[in-house]
Amino acid sequence: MIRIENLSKSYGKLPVLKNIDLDIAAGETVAVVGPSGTGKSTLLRCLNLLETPTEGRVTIDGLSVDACHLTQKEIYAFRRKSTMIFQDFCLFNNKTVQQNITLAMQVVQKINKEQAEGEAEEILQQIGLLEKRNNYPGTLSGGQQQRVAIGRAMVLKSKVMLFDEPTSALDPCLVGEVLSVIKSITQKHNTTIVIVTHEMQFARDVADRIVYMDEGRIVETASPEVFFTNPAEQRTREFLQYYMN
Amino acid sequence: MRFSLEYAVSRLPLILKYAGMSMNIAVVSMFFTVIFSLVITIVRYYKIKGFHQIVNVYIDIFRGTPLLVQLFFIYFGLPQISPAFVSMTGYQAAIIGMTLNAAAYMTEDMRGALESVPKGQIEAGLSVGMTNLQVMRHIIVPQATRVALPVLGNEFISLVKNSSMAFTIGVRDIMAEATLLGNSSAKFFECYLDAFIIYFVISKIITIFQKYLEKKLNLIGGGLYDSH
Ligand SMILES: Nc1ncnc2c1ncn2[C@@H]1O[C@H](COP(=O)(O)OP(=O)(O)O)[C@@H](O)[C@H]1O
Ligand SMILES: [Mg+2]
Repeated sequence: MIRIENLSKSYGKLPVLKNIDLDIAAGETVAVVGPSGTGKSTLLRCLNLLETPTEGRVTIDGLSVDACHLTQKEIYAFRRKSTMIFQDFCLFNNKTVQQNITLAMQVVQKINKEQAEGEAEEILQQIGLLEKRNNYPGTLSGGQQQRVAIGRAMVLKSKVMLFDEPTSALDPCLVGEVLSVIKSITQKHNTTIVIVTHEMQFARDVADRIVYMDEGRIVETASPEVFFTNPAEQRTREFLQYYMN
Repeated sequence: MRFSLEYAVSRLPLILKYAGMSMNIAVVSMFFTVIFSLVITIVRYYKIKGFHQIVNVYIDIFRGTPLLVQLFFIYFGLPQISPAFVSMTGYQAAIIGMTLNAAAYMTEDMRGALESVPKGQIEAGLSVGMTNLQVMRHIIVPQATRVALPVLGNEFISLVKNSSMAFTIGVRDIMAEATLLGNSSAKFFECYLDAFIIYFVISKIITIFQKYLEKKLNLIGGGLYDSH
């Protein structure tokens, strides 16, 4: 479903991603872990083309883009192959919960209002926020906002969902409700998921594979079982020792 | 000479009749100012090549010189170099001058409002597949408008007050009438006091209306930006 080939990204002279290669199968859930500042967010943002890679090639669902020649049209088309969930939710502040969910359906997918609202209602039920449909984001808790952000992405039914530390900005007591919504998506097996997270237990529970990144490179890729019990690389072991305490 | 309350009161309705012209200039200038500011703000926001630099020079010039000089330049100066301007009336010159002057300030406010919209809002819009234009229309502009609205209200009050300069290029407004009556009766104190009162009351009414509008928007937004 996703193929990343020789992907590099620099900000000016600062290299952030260095020759990343990664294949992700349809329906797979991949957790990306690693110290902060190693380029995990940048990797996701390159997959959604919120950042333009400096070099390399990315393919999602049969659509390929090359960093060297990207047209605006390609960017729009490619971006619609995936949806992104941000660390700080980024709900549209001028829209109600329901409008947050229906906006892209109406504007991008050209679905009519009644149908969009019907689909939004289903999603709102799934994320348990039906009674908040007419609230504005500012009146919701962080956990609720993130659930809406996930709903906003889910409703577009893209084959790929990208989560960038979806629970890092939340109070510890609100993490659970968000993780359980994400978990319910991973269990349906028709969505390919890449999730950057520091929730190691969660990664172990839901991921089919763990990718460990450090300093802009993929250091190790392994099944959760192997990753957490018997990682191949010394650096991975040090990281785990640090994070599991 | 002594103050005559009676005279001041009796002239008030006469001068007030010309408030229509002052408001006309302010409203029409405001209309063109908003449109013109929007255009140049977008040119600057997207850094459209060529235009971008021209716009910056224009803003520099109109912010760096007095409105009175601009009005005189347009009304008395331009017709001397181009016959196209000979038939320009004082009213038209006032609208042009006030629009160019106010837009040079308003574009800064609009830019500030656009830039006040967090980057995450834009990225969230893009990430669900919207185009830059769609993000502009559905996310950035509505949020920026809320930020800009109080400032636009203040700009409008400035236009009302600055419209008093139009009388220097022959427009018959509050200020012109007050001066005329003052000249004929030599009771300048009373006539300009009337002008004072009229301008002040108009400003106050606009302020009250502006507050009301803001409050109403806040209600619609349900404390929209509480978290920001
Ligand atoms: N827009 C940017 N401009 C310059 N440097 C950036 C930018 N975004 C990220 N970086 C740098 O790239 C590196 C990787 O950042 P990021 O992908 O956010 O890491 P992670 O998500 O793993 O914490 C960091 O050193 C960060 O400072
Ligand atoms: Mg990050």
